[in-house]
Amino acid sequence: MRTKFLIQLLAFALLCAGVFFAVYALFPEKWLDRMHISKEQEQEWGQTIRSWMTEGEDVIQHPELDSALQRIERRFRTADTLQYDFNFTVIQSEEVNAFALPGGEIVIYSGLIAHCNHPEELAAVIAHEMGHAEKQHVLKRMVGAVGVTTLGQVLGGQNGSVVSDVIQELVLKGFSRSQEEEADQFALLLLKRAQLDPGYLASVFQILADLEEESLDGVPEMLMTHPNVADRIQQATEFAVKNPVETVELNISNWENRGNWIH
Amino acid sequence: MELQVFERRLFNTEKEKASNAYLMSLVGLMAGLPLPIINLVASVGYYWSVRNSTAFVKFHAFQAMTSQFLVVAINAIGLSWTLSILFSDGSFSAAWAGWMAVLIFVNVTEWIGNIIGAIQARKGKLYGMYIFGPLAWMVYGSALQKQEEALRDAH
Repeated sequence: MRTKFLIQLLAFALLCAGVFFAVYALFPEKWLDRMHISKEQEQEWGQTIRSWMTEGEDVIQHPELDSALQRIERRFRTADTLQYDFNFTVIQSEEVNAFALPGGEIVIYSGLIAHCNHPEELAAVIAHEMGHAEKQHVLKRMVGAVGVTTLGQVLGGQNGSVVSDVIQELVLKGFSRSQEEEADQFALLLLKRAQLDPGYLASVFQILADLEEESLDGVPEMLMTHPNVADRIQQATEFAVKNPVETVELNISNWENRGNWIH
Repeated sequence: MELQVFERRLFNTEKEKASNAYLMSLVGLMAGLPLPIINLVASVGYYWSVRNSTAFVKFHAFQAMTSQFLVVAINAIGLSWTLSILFSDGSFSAAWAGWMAVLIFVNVTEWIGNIIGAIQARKGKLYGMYIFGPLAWMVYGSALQKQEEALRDAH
């Protein structure tokens, strides 16, 4: 009887494991793995969404600003292996925000640049957004919401203005707690490898939290869905303390006059 | 689990008590949802209340109770996982969906097993559920066989 019990227990456990993995494999996030969306396709989609989201907006193009962003990107690229070629778009806006799109597109609002007292703080935000891009958080959310086929059709320009609205909403909605933590962790490691103080991530969180408290702006994407910003500040600070870095400043000249770049 | 003589000589009260063990689990499960503990408390309480009853009743009460442990464990994990996602604004991951599928599968299997158990026990059958039947037999098998031998000798 003992053998019968053990055999039945094992058979039942296997059956449960079968049920688990069948559903696990069918879950939308897993579709990405099976669909093998190419980097080129992803970049094309990212560019399409960026064009939707910047339509009617004042896109800032200033040589010193472009140079600063390129310098930050280069620092990160030499420090770590990044799968995307990042492209930055700066929008003229009082809003203090930035968000990542599929394929390495990153959109930054000029309000954020204005509030960053050091270029390293902007670098910390960019590292965080790079984390979302590298971990494909936006793409996973989109695939989960509308499916790969619809996504391909809409981003390919075939149809679906309603779906395109949904996609834009998803981009601005913010991420889940685990995804934000993943992006934070990515940013902290990237800053460390790039010889930038990871503590700047904490200071930029503090800036955003202060702004949120003052209700000067809407809640930035980086803080959205996360009531406990204090925890994230603490985690970033602890990481910086435990991982001392021999820092090399970004040396972005004229940063104090950045107001001229973005107005 | 063939105990023909024994099964023919059961009192109606024994059959009822044995059948009620499963009904208690079912009612506890329905009344307690989404809290996963009430069905277990009901089953343990019922098992305790029939501790001085015959081996047939105890066999079924034990089987109904032990089957609840598995359901409660799986439901408790499922509930706490779901609540942690809802209250921390986490994401409903593929692993969560997989666990929920297992939870539904185990609960449905359990309901079916309990309904069959209640019917069979009411008929006086020594019905053994999957996994928990052999387990209950390991605990009460010898007591049941001894009782049958005693009944056969007395007859």
